[in-house]
Amino acid sequence: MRLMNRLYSKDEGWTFVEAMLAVVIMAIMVLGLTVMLMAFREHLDRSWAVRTMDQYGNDVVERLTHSLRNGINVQVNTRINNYSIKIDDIDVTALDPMYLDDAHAITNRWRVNTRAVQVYAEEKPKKSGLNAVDPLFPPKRLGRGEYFEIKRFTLSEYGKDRDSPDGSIWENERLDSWSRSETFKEATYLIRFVLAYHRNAINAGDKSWDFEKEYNNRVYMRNKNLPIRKSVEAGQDQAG
Amino acid sequence: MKLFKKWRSDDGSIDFIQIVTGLVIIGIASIATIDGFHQGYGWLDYQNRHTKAVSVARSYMEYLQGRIHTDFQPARFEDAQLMQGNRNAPLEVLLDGRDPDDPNDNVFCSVHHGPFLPVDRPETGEGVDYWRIRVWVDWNEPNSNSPVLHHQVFFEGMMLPEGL
Repeated sequence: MRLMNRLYSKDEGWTFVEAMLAVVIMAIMVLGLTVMLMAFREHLDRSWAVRTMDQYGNDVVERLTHSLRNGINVQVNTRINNYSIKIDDIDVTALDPMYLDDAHAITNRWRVNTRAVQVYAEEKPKKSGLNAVDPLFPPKRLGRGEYFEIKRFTLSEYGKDRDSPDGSIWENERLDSWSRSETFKEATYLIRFVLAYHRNAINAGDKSWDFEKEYNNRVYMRNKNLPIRKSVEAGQDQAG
Repeated sequence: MKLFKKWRSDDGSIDFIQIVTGLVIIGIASIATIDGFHQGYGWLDYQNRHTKAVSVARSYMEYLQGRIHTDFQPARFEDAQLMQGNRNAPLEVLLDGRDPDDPNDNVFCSVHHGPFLPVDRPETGEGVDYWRIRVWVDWNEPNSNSPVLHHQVFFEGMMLPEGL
């Protein structure tokens, strides 16, 4: 038994130098990993915020595009127009597909609540109240210093946009609009929706980060110039 | 024999070879993981640009459809030019602004349409029944120095003049 103990018992622990070396190596690795994970987390948070913004921006533009395509008329009223925020109230009139006459016209009211950072689409006659396009935006569990903002929600007739986005195909729109017919201009609209994401510095050494992105689309309202619209107008004239 | 004895007389502590081997394994695993994340991020970015390219193509198509519908006279010089397409003089459009702090990393795309193709269905006897329109959006991904644009979105649509 003694022999066994002598053979298998090892009392040579780490030397001080070995232990110090191990501690230093582990400390460097842990520090490196922590820095890497923190940078990765920051990058992931920003990236996630931008993806969320993309999803919402594309959703809103798609829904409004769809609404305009089905519409026979649209009315735009500017609600907010200052140096940083431009918001329009948009009412799109469409025909009820079950009746296709003016007596059963539906109005889709598009409204923006800048405080709640939400775009609402309400159908009149009212079906289910004021509907947020995406109730899950902005995300409920944002970090400290994080917030989203709607900077612009506008709809402009062809050639009447107040400031065209840089490097876009609408840059020369105003020039081109001089040669276009009124029927074309009155049925061609530009949707512009601008979202911003802010990430304020909270801790010492943090850096603020702001990101702004525009989502836009052009729509040609076919129904405004199609026989369906004309038959409605003819019906109105007769009724008048 | 001496080496074998030395190896057998291991006193239980971690030796240099073991540390290096461990670090190499951890390093390889980390590189593979980071590369995986990088690839995934790149794909998400690409998807974002592709979505935007589809939106640009559709916007351009809407413009052409609107023109054909209400503002198109093939005999007019301007419209005759439009009818020929603009393959040789495409529009350049901002596709992705990327880093807001760096104006040099923007990705642009080229937008053009092909010649309008008149479609005459003999059974109607009305001449040109509608026009077929084709739109292309081409771009290169970031860090590509190729002069050839490798990514493309193609749209095909049709429109009839208002009078028909």
